[in-house]
Amino acid sequence: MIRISSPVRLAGLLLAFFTVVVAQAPAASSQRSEWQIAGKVISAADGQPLSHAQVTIRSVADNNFAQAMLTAGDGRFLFRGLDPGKYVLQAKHHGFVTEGYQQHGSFFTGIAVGPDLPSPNLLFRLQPEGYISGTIVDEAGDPVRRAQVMLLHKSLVNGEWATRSVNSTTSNDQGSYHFGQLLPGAYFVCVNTQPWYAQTERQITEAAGANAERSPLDVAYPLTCYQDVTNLSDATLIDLQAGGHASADLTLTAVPAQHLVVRMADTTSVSAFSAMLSQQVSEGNPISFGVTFRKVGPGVFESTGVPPGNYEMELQFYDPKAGRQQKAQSRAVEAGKDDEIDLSEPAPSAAVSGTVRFIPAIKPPAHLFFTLSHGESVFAAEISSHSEFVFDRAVPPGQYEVGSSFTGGLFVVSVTATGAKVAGRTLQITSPDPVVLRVVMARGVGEIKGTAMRDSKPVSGALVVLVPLDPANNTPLFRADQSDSDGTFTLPSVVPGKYTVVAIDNGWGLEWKNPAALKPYLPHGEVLEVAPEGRYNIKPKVQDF
Amino acid sequence: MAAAYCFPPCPRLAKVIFLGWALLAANASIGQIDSSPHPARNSDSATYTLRGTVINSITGDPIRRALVNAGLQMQFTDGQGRFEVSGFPAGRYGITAQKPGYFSPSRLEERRGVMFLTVKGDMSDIVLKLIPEGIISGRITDENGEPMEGVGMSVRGWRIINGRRQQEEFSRQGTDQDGQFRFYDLMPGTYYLTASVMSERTGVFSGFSEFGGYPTTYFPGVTQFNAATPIKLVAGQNLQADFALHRLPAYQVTGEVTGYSGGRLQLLQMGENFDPGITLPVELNRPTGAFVVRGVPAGSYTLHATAEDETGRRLVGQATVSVASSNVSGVVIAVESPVSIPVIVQTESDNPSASRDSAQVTVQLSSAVPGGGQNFFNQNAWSGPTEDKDHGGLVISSVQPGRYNVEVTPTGGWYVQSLLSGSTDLFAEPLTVGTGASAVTIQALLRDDGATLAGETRQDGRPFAATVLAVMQGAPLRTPWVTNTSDQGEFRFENLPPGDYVVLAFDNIADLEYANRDALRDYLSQGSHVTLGSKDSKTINVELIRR
Repeated sequence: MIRISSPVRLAGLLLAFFTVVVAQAPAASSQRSEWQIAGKVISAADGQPLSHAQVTIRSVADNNFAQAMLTAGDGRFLFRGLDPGKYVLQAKHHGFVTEGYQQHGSFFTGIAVGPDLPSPNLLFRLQPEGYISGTIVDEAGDPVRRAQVMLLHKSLVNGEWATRSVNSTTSNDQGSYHFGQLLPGAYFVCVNTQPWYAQTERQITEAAGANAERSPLDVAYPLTCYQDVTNLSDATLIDLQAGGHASADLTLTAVPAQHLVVRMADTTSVSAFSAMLSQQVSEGNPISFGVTFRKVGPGVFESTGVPPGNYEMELQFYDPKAGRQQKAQSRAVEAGKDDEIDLSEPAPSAAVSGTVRFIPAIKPPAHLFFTLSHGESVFAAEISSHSEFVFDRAVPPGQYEVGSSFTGGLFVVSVTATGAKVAGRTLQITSPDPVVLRVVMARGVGEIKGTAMRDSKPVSGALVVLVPLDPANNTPLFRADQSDSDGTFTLPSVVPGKYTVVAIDNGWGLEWKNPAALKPYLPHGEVLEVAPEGRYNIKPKVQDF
Repeated sequence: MAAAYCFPPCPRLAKVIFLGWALLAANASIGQIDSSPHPARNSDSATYTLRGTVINSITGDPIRRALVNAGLQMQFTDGQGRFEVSGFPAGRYGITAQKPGYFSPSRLEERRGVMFLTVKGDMSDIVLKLIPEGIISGRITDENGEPMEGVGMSVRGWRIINGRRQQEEFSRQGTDQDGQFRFYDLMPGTYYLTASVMSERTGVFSGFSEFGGYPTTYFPGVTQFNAATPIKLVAGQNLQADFALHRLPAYQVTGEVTGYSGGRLQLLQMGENFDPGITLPVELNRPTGAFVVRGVPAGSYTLHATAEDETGRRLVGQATVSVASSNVSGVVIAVESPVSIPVIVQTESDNPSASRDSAQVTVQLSSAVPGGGQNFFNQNAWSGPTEDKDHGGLVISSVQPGRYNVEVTPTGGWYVQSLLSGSTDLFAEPLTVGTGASAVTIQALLRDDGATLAGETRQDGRPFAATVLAVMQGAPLRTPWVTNTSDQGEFRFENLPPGDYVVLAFDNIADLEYANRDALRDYLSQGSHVTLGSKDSKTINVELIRR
């Protein structure tokens, strides 16, 4: 079973767990409620039973049905009088990580009860809680309060390795922070804040111009990662053991703030405008803050102070000629090289637009978006009633996966481009030249249901992956699930085409979006061609990891 | 608060400077930050040095690495809290100090006072006091003494805004894995601390299943607000507030929404009365209006329904539910058109060139609760500026039934001569708003021949900076007029309606609920009396009242 909401922070799991929306036949209400789910909560560390653990059960079919109970001294729990159907379970105990039953990232095993199904007797393992804590001080040794502290986790998520921001907190008046509820693994800690005494607002007037003296307190803290480095690639990896505690103290050192200078056509009525600067902590995990640009001379604007670094800058200002906020411009800037940004020149980021052909020809529904995604950053452009789209933010060079919002069951069949390279559903933008896309879309995503089988018995907790042809260039087409206690799984919103479904027992360590890692499993997978609106029920054979 | 201040001549310290606000104002007007001193006057070319110490107003301990801003020169204090800034020509300079964990006195006070330093020669022994923050920390446990993680903790209290007492949430956080919480940056004042087992992320109350759960609990561990102990926090206090939550049975609330037949029921929300941020999930059958709320802890709640009639007009309704020790059924919420109150503004002027168009008003309704509004559920029903182009086009819409104090504030040289609702004098009695089609109007008469009252505030015959209130007699619901004096104690009111006034001067009005006559009662005998007629211009001296 999978949560539908895709990238979710670890700390959000607990709640997202209960937002599960999975198609499920309604339970026959005429039947007597004689089913039960029994089990025992134990520590994954030593197998000892956990008493007074809170176990919560929620019906997949009936969102209003939820029960909670505390385990007995031997760690046992029992939910009686259940209607037939699927249930999701969660267990919580002080000192352990709150998780769903057999949870692996965003996947877990749902428990099915009903006629012809064995009465479940579960062993619910909870991992001891690990935590990372520390103190942040400034160059004078004073605690830094209200600093934004970010926790990044390097892990295998949705079949690929990534370092993602999984939690964020704020230091208290003693400069202390704490991240609890952590599974064992590789973590980084980074801090984003500014000195309490900084005077980065120069309040430069046009008369004083760019020569106005800067305050010695015109300083800033760069993004600082443990252990006191300003780049994640130099950061010290925190290898957290199960139930372990790591300490990560940081000292922040202020550096002279940098001021970005923008040149543009001299429009006397604009005296200031604002911009958002965002910096990638890790790929697809930006932090953003606002700066103000003030006029320092004819057509010359200077920003408030920012820490040195590489940013994506997005700016918006009132255009008196157009009589409205001018469309945001976006471009990469480097603070620290006295970079002057000339806005009268075209942005060094591609302007992306395109047309869509629908098969069969239809008028596109409202709120249908064409998307370009890169890590966790997604650019989206709404497709107009004339089947055209324009990205209002420039798209920086890079590799993007093309996709859509699946509104009305519509999906991208194919894409061709001028000004960029396309392979499958991967778009490569290499130059700042405009990119024009021609997109073909069709209606009718399919759905695959099935049961993971071994020796004609259903297998619970298996990884099920839907692998497209040419997997390297078609990552948006992948779908995955974890089989429930009766072996069943669902792969929703499948774009029509040819696929292989593989089921792998305990395949949670597999980098399944990597074609090389997948290759050994494909020959034993089940091949199927999904037609538009196709509904399938398959029984893939479970392979060993 | 008096302990934090010392007015010159100071018995022990050579000089005490008021910090903060005035300097910020000065920055704003100068509009430019200069690294050199910025004199207001400059008589000769000699420059002077300012030396002093930044200290904790409670302990008297020096504060290291505080940022001193003197005449826009910035400097950190040294390890002994000392600073020394030089290069000041004779003149007046704003001076301030700041440091995380401390407040400037001006943040605590609504008064802008003596915050400039007059420099005529070298100065030493300048003492800048900073007020240390208060901290409330503690640990939440369950009935077995186990720490409870993720409990939503809230610090609430009253803030006096424009002389009225308003409930406010100052801060909110969840307990950590050890059940601990820690609120800092708290100003001295009275606080209530509450714990609710709720999800901070979704706002959905999750503390209850059908087997019971934890109701909202107030420090020191009670579930009734009336039994809660207010926390009186003084400057620099670090208060430990541990308490336990107890699992209690939960109940069910059922009922129906009526009055929208042919229309459409849109929304039904059930919020806790003390903390409207806590809402419980409502199961609602839109066609029939039947609803059920499960897992409701004992407490006081309000259900708000919104619907549309067949023509698409908005309908609203509400019901208050008190849950004690059993299920509550048969709750009926009748939705109806919200009450709209037209405000008719008329102007009178002896001046033929007076522009009626300049008479714009702001109308504010605030709940008039017996006992001086000392009620946590007191909210402004409506407030906002409205243009009154055609003298009759102003309507206050969506007013919930209740009793309200009405305040009309005009602009452009006008004052309110009378404020009536039918025959009710709204300067003396609150406005009563019923349900449904009750026809309530407000009539305001504006005039432009107001009086001017100027004067000086003094203590022991010497001019003194203060905040001055002009309190109109015979109009108990009229908010007094308020102004700050210059640092020489001079004040001036304009556009005062004719009438009898008591004029009061305070060293500070922090925590003074001055719009409530009961709160002023003890002071009225210490004020100066004056009677103003149309277009009068009078002068009055007022003796300072220390609070």
